Amino acid sequence: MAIGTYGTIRPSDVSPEDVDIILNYTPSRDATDNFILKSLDAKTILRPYFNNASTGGNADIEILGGLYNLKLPANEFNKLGIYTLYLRPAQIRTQINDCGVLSALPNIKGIVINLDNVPAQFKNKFTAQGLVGFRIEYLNDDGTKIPNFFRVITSNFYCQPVTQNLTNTSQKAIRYRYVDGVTNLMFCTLTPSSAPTNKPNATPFIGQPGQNIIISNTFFNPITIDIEVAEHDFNTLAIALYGNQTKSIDDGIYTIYDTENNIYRQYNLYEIRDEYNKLLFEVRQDRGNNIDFSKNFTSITT
Amino acid sequence: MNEDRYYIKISPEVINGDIFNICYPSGNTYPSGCTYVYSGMSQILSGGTNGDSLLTGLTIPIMITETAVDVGLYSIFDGNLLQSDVVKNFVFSAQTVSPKRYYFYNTSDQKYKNYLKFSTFEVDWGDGVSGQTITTLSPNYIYHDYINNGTYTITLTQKNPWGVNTVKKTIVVPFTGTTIDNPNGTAYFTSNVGSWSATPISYDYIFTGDSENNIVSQVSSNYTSTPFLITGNTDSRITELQSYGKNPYVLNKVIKDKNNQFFGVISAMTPTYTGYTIQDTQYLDFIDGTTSYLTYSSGLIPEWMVQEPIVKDESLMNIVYQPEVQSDVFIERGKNSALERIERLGEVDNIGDLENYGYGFFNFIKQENL
Repeated sequence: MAIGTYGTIRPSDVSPEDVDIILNYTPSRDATDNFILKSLDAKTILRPYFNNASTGGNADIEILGGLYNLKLPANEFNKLGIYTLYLRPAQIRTQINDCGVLSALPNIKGIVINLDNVPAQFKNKFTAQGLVGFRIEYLNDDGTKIPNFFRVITSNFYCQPVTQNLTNTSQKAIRYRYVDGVTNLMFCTLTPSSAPTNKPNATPFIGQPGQNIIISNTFFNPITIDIEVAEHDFNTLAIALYGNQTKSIDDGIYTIYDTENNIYRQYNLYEIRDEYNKLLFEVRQDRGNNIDFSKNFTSITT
Repeated sequence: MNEDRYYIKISPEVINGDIFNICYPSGNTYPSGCTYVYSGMSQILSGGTNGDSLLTGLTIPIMITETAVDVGLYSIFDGNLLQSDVVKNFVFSAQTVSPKRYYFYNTSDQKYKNYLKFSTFEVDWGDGVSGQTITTLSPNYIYHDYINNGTYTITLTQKNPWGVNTVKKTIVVPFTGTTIDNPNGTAYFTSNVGSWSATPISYDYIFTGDSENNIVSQVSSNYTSTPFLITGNTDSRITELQSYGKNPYVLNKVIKDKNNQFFGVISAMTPTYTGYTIQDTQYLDFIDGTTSYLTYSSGLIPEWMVQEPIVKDESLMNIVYQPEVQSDVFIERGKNSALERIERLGEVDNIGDLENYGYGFFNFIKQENL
């Protein structure tokens, strides 16, 4: 017997449809309320990279794994500020139809999910053994989530209810039987579902009939991406410091050029004097979009 | 930055397209041509249609990973499919020549008996005679002679620190060789402590509510005929048939064991091989020094083989840190589905395989003089 824990961080092969992307925008890190929180369509903006002839593997077919391209939609990223993208496993919200046991193996407990209560876009996940490893979180009656509590699905199969006459009336008469064909009921065994040896009379909680649950995959670790859209960076500041500049004596227009001699900023320079012609202020005023195009650097210097 | 959080700054230096291209209308007084004006980030972000960003191709590469962890606990239970009746069960037999004598074989699993070392077994023959402790496992057996004809329930009780497991099977005295109903019996569990109101206390191995309540419909269609022929190479055993005297090997001379039972006989002596039989196994010693054997499987005939569906005990699929004995089942870190048919009969090509098939699927008891 070897005891230990083996594992590593591995690139995920998750499909975009299994990803929820939540966007949070705030104009400033100092903002503490009025967050803009919305959901983005991962299938549209998240795209996996595929192998090509250079990386090996089957070009354009085999997923590279781990590396994804996230498109930042222009209609959302249209302001300066801080955008936080939260990528988490997609959540399937449904309800426990019943908590039951298998007819042939009554010591096997599990939850039964009615596929009619599963959102249409996630029904393709509900195949035999398709939910193994998925996590189940539970909601209270008031809609709050039971914190820090979850179960993991260890098996799931289509099932159908069977009726059994039991001598012990405290036991349920409805039990379930696995079937190979497709039904609208899915029997999921969870872990842990057996009593621990040190407390054999304890039955682990796996849910209650009618309880709302959240099923989420465990294909990848949730991540957050902090995207700061900034007005200035070192380049623009360097332009202001070291870029070419012209000052038009006639009209006082002060122009700063970038490294390509494009007009970077343009200012009006003027003086304010009092009635005695005493100089009170020297002013530099940003012209904004009111660019005087005649101050083309190339035209001026040639 | 760790692997779960990324920080990305988008500023003029990392984007391409931060230049407005302003061309002059014809006839103005400016120098002809276009002037390029650097646009600030805020202008780019809102310069598109409906205030959208002009950065329509803005993408970032991200890394999505998962933490793959193997529990890392490997034991003899790994991958094993263990049926409840493997850890506690028995088979019985009788002969029509002495129809009131029933033989009892404790088939509680031997491979895992280390986990059952705390167990004690007791047999109740069901006829009012006090229980009999049994300390041996199959193929050893005990037997009981019933005095009166009737229907009796044989009960095997396995006591362990976790509770008491019992298996009950019904027999009819005198034994007539007719089909035995529910040969696997009914399993019961009574806990030592606690309230088990939600736990079934008994169940038949085949549930009567199944729409097709017969064994045949639930077993694999793969099968093999028994007894089947087994051949192979081995070491010569001819020396075991030696007799005293100057001619130790005598053709057709029956050699008996210390109990005066048939042991073997030399059946052929040719220039190329010597043929002999030891304990129902035929051997051929060839002139080149090799020996082949030929025998049949244990001699079970289909009528004496108990068919039962192989159903994986799904509780074995729980992820646990140690193999545990819980109520009447063993818990292990299972890997396969409960619906998975164990169709490995095709791999059976010797007695050992057959005995190991399905982790005790066949209850192997050699019947004599049936």
